[in-house]
Amino acid sequence: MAKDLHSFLSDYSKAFPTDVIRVSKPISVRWECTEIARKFERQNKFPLIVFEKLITTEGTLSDFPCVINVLGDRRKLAFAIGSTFENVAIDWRKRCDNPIPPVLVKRKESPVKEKVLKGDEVNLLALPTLHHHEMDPGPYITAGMLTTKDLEQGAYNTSFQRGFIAGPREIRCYISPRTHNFYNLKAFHAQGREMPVIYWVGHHPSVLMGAHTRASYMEDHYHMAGAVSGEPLRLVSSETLGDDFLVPADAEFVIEGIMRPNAFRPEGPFGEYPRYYGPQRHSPVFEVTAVTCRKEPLWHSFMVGINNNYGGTQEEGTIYAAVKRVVPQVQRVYVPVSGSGRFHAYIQLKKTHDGQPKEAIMAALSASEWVKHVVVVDDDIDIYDDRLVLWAIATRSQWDRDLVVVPGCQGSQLDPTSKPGGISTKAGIDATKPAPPKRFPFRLSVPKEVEEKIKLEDFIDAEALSRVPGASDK
Amino acid sequence: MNEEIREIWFRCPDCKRDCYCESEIEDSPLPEVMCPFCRKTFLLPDVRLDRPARL
Repeated sequence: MAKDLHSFLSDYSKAFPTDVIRVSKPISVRWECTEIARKFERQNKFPLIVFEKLITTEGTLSDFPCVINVLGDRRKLAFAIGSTFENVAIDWRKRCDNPIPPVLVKRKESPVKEKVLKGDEVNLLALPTLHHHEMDPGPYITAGMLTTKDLEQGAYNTSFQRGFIAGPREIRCYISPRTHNFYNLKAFHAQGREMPVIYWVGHHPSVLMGAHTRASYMEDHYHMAGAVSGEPLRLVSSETLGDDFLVPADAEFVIEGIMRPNAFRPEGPFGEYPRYYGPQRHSPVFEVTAVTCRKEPLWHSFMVGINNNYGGTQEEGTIYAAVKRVVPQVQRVYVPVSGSGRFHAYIQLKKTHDGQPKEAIMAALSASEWVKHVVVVDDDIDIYDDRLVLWAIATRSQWDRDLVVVPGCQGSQLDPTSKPGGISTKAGIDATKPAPPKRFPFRLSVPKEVEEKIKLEDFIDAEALSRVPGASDK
Repeated sequence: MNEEIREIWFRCPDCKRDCYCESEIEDSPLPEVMCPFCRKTFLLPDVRLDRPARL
């Protein structure tokens, strides 16, 4: 049986039963699900939540549940591809070296064809699509894989790109100008042609991770989906875009349509990953021609602006590979949530020469347009702990000699401090000790045998231990 | 943080709430903006609040 969202939900629930929550009480798609996720986020928890009874923006009870946090933290990403917390980014990247071509299946073998709605039968407002934040203009598709084909080779390009549901059959999609979907759109429109396009929503997270992998232009993302999930992606012909436009057979939903030349309308503002509203734009209109889905589908929403482990983890693999080429002593790379999962990168080195941190900084800054600040630390620093990275900056760097600043780089348009077009200043700091044989003061320690022998529970009552407040508890 | 501003701010004449759009909309042949709260559309020059320095 092919991997899909249902199989993941079942497998993950068995492995981590306390990290899966089903909400059976009716809840509005309008901000209420977001607030549930925010409340968990404040506790640094990202459970996989299935909202079973959602009240849509039309005020009706949706026929379908909605699941969030499928890609919510590193543990889930690691579980999805059979990796570990520490190695998930590197394993994800490695798998991309061996693309697996998709296979074509018949309609009757395709769960996503169990229900087919065309033309006026479609009402997107009946879907349990979330209206995430107060200033968003309405419900948004956030975990939708926007998929297009290029005109030359017909390679499929897929990317999570947000879509504002502006009407029963109208979606306005933000397609960033530097994305391959945008290149395809420009190519079609330059010839005065409408572009066929689909969103597919809901699939096994390993398929989503693969499909969303950064690839070169005209490299087929359906092949990458197979590479990361470890099995060929099953595809089936579309309903309204021709038999040669193929869609994932095991998705929960497929939304088909076209983007006509010169059809751009206001879209946004939208609460984006930097935790600010990205400005309103003129975005292409996706005119929906059909929706197909399973008999009992799960809608999938991505909680944009809540937790950014997903985007950051993807970048880690890219940065690790780039740094490894110039500094083989790199141990780990982490793109923390504290930088909105994009803007900060921590690099851990087993440093042997003093020039290595700056080489690593330059490699990392050019490997990812999103990364804005790089911190290089030694291998005794736990890069998954922001406090220790900041401590390394505090005690192992002098900014006049250790800082690298590169103005005028390509950064993120959604960084509110960047110039138009996303032009941004990037920087890196070497927060490492001098390379051996130079010496550096010792860190505080207690003898190893004492560290291992002393257990809090041996000296303090368990109940009293559980009641001790955290330093940041208010 | 410097003083450079990339967004153009506007106020909905109906619901009186403020919003912002990217500066490229100003150069569009139809500089239409939408109030995200009431979803009404307007022409940007009619509802614009400020005129930021061009970068």
